[in-house]
Amino acid sequence: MPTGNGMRNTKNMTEETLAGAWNLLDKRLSRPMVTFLEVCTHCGVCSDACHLYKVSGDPIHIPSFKADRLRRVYKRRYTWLGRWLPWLAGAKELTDGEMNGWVDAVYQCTLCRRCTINCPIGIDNALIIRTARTLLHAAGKGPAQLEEHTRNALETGSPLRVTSETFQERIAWFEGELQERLGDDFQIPLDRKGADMLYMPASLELMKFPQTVMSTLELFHRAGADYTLSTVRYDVTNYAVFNGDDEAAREIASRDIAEAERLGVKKVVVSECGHAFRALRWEAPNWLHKPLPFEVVDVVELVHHWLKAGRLTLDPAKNQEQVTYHDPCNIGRNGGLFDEPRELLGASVKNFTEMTPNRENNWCCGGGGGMLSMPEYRETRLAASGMKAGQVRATGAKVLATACANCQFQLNEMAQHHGLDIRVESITDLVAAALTKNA
Amino acid sequence: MDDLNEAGVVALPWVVGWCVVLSALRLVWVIRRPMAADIAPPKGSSAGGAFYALTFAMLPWKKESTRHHWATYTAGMLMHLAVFVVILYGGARWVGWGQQVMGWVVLAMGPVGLAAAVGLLVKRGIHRGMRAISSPDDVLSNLLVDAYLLGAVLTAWSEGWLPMWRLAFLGLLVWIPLGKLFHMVLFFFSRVFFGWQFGRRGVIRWALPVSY
Repeated sequence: MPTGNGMRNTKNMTEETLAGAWNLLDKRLSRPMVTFLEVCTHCGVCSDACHLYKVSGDPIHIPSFKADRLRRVYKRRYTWLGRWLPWLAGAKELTDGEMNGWVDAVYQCTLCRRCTINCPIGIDNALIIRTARTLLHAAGKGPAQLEEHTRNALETGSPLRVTSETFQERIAWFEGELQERLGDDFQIPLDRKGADMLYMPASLELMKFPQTVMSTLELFHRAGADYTLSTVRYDVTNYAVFNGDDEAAREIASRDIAEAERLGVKKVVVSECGHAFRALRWEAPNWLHKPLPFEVVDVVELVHHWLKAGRLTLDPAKNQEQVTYHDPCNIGRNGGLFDEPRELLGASVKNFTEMTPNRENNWCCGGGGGMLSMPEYRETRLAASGMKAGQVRATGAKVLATACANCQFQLNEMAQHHGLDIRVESITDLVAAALTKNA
Repeated sequence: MDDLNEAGVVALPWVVGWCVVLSALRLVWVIRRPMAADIAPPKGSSAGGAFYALTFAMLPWKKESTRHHWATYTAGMLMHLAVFVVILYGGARWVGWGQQVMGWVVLAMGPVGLAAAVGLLVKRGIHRGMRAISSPDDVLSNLLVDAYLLGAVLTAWSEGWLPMWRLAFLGLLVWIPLGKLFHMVLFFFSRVFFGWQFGRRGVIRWALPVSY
């Protein structure tokens, strides 16, 4: 098992930091959280629900083992048995050494919640593990690059430090490319107040998968959408979801919200970025303790709506190759978008094959939970993609579609690592390729 | 045996009181924790998700984990079933109705449940992963249930074992509010919280098809 390469910070905590960690834990002890911490019977059936455990057989990857890192310090302070007879309860004091021992367990997790779906009791291990990350972050023990990406987002608006100038250069390039297909009068609207919707791409797409952004923009155009992009908030990524830094997560989300309010849009369209969709759609209202003054939709939902409304006409014959679909955990298992991508693919490709299992039981690609930003765990991440590789191979598909740039990046590396002869495509790419001229 | 029997009878109300009061305190502590409001607009039904989580989702073929771990799942079910039967047997003896019939049921089900419980304990001891996630509480809780089942079976076979069964019952009552046996109460909360959130997000639904 890779134990890191020293990039994590294991500096000693002061008494003040330790007290702060306890305070943080106390604040996070909601009724569901306490229930999930108290109720585990250690039956062990969650083990085979985890792709990391399946490929390694290492007990550190058993979800309940990971959750127990936090559970045992919770027991020490909050349960009678943990206080009176800690050895019997398996309870531990929250110390510097104890927290150092958490790092490899809680960061080598993709927070995919497959174990939650399969827990006979329904324990949300991902909630517990993210809380453990919150404490580690507060103690200054988070993985260096993951922490850096969150800091970058706060300082520059982008975890990859994509500047507004770079963004506008990319937009000019996309505009030129799309004018060749859509006509010279095609323009990408920027900072247009009063537009119906704000489309927010992710930096990973802008820099690594520009075709996805271009496909999306083409779909906007062909559907006759009233939209804009922002030169202020042009990266919807929110890596604080992964490092457990609630303050940063709230701040990043509130900047996106402020920009959408400034532009007066009715809808924010989150690009194919699973965790960003989850952050803005499901978590942000709770972080900010108020409903958002606009609707948040995933681009897949929106395109699906256009298809149903007859605003897009697709010809599946334009995508003849056999296609399978990977459900991104933050879109599907955490966001309930299962039917929309399938119906889009059904209308866009000639030959679609489901992988097994799928939907809420789909195997995580291995790149979630911030794993892409933790080079010390690269080996673990690529090994963990073995479950997904096996699924894909069994379908015989030539094209692997997904709806998340993070997954797309990981799936490309997976294909290379496991010798799969496939092409990874975003859903919007496939839909755009199926557009008919008279749409 | 007579002294043990007498001691057990005297201790029973005190131990029942301990179990009830501490369990209530523990439950109240959980319930009084804040329940953060989920403000994001729903995609599905929270109530539908909770209902599904407490009913159809519990069917063994609905979860991959129970399909794959069918032996563990079956053993767990048999153990819990035997515990319920033994509780009913105790109740029948208390009210003085149906004691003989329940005794036969205990003689039939009890050994099976006991064997399942011991099997789970053995698995916990020999499986590397299970050892890694186990605490002494897991072992003690299992042993207390084993003793409770064994006591009931022996008592159903011969009344002379009643003091031993009562002692095992007392041990169980002492441990319920302290250790992991308290999952018998919190289990339902956990399923509801799970179903509520995943139902709200439209991840789990009433008629969710088996997806394999």
